[in-house]
Amino acid sequence: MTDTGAKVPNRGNPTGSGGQAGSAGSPGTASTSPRATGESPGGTRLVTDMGKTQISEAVVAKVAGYAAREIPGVHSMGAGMARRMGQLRSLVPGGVDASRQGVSVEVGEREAAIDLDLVTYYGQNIVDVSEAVRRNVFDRVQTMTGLQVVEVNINVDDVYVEGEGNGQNGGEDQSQPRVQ
Amino acid sequence: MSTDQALATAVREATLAVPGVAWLASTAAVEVATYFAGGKVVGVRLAGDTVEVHVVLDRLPVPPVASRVDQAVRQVLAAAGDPRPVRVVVEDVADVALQAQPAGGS
Repeated sequence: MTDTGAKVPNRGNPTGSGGQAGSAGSPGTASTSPRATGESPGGTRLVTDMGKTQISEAVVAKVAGYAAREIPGVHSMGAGMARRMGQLRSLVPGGVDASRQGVSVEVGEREAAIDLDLVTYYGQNIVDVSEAVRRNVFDRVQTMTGLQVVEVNINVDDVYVEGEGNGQNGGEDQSQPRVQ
Repeated sequence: MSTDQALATAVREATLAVPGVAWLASTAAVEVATYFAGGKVVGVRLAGDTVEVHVVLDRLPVPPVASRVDQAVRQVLAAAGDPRPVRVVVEDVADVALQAQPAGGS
């Protein structure tokens, strides 16, 4: 348990780039030949001789939002006040789509960058969870949209503690009398 | 679907197949698990430089079982082309093991 903390910083880099290293290196070179054919990986099939496929930010944000929520360690998404407001807003008909809560994206012709705001559960290894989130978001966005994901930045905004409302220690004092 | 899911599940299956392993568990304050879309495998941690397997045994003595778990997991990793070392953590020993004769190995 104690060496997890030491291991983890090393780990962040190799996976962040390592998981997708093969393809992540290529878009730089791919973009020098704008009208690439379908052979190169990631995003190149969106721009063809016969026209362009454009994918809106809303689509990428939605896919990324759902992909992040697929990981069981993710409690909710969004940062602070926005998260609380978002829960309200999603109840209003015609309000903002809740699935985009905590997701901001930048989408180019063939590449996308994604920023996520997460809330994880207390008692979980945050690095493990965010690593799983990052990988899943990479996978889902790349396979569903064909866009090359350049980076997935994760901001862990809060940790959800069960029974937090009762106090820091889970309120065990209140729930059960100490003496019978 | 994902490779992590496949590998973690394979490690779990291989570990459970070792006689003397009762189940995989994470009893520490920080959960040991491999997370993937739609679920997690508790007791297997693939995220570090070392692959960790956390087990509860129902047979004593511990060392032979632990080394067999180590071997089994190593085999799975080798088949998947994963060169990482393995760490077997014995989280607990089930009560059954203590009731049985240590040498008998129920």
